[in-house]
Amino acid sequence: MGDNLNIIVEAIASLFKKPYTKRYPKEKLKQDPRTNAWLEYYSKKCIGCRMCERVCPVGAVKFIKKGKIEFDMGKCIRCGMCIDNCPVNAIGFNQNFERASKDKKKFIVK
Amino acid sequence: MHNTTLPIGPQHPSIKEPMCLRIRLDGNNIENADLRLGYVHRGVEKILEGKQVDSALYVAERICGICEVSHTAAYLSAVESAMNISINDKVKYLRTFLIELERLHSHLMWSGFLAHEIGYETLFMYSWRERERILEIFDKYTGGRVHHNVSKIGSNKYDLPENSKKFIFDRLDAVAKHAEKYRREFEKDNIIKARLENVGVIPEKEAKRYCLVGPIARASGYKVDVRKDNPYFAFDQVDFNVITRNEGDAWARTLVRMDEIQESVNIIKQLINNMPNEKLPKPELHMNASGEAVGHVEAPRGENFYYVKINSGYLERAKIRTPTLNNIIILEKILKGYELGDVPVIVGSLDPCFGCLERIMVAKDKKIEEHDEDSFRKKYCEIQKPEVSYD
Repeated sequence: MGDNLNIIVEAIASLFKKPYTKRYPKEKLKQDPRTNAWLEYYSKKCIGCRMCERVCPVGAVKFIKKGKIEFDMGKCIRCGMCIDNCPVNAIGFNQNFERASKDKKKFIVK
Repeated sequence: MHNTTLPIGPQHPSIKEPMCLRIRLDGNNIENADLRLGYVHRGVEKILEGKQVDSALYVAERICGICEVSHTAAYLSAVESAMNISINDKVKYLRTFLIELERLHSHLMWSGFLAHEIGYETLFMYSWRERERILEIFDKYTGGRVHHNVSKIGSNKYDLPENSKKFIFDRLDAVAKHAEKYRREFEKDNIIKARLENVGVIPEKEAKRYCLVGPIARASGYKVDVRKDNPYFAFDQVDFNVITRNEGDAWARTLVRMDEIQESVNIIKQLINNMPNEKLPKPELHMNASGEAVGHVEAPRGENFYYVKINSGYLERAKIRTPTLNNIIILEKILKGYELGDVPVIVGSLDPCFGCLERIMVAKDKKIEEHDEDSFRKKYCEIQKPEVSYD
């Protein structure tokens, strides 16, 4: 009993504390500004250099023509290579992570 | 129950990843054990081949879910020496900071797993609560709890956030305080000691013979640590001790890891207090680089080794040796003579990660054979292993 006293004290103290984790989705999670959740594509800025397509490690970028690129977020691993290497900042990340869907078309960012 | 052969796995509640242990029992005692792997082979080396060096970094980062920083660091250390890229002190400090945070997170998670294996759910939950604090630091710095995406060849994407010193120190102090309590629990509690003491003993001689690495070697008195033996990044600029114990059993392996938590906390505090005020270099693509080099770092489980050959900015060959490959070989030997109930504790105390480990390559008579999964199993997995005496 003496050996376990430490952990028993810890357990009793924990009874009066709030839960350490949050109960999503009842409580909203606060996203850090550095979180890479979903891509944003600004087609007006695009110059059609195809750099994003070239550096993507998983082949999630499909170039159609200048100002028209499709990003498959089902394949995307959120590494940010396309964003870091875009010369005109036409791609960016936002923090909107609640994007689960059964419709595959919703995973295509145009 | 005389001379029963009992398969444990590939799917079993006491094993966290798929592996198959065929155990021959005499009553309740283990007479012989046969380990079979190959259930989570993903062909990571083949995936890396032909990738552009900057993009391949993100594939290397995703080889393991627990030691992703170590994989990145080993890859970067190999690629940067192949391309003769020197990095400044700031980048070195930030990478070391991430590596040590990962060690904290991995050891805390593992101690929770071990507590779970021996039926001590309270300690499991508390260890994981401490791990949550480390994940918060990861989240604040990198924006990701598991995959961080901050390392770049020759640079780092982000600096530490402004005014984050207090945030990090508060969490580290809480982790150090609580980890000390849990260490005392592992050290003093009679029930835990009864499950761990003199179980899965590896003498120092055997540890050297089997080339064990990481906390498992250090718990057997074999002082091997890449951070001290061949300091990389900023490890030559921080003070820390290499923790060793001489018992060599599952209990020693636990205490070595719990002591390493305190050492990691000290290293991180030193790194943040002495963080250089340099600017991070702008990351760039390396399209024309060529070269060949090796890199190794001390992952939470032991030495992580990378060999890369680069041709015109693309990876021609990548060879990865993860610490579990060194450590899992001794499992069949140390299981012999113990009871069936000790299997989860012994397997758990080695902290295996099969996802990183699995490779298939057959070199026979100087010819390399090519196999798909079925033909490989048919040819090599069904044959009887020769009896080898280790004594």
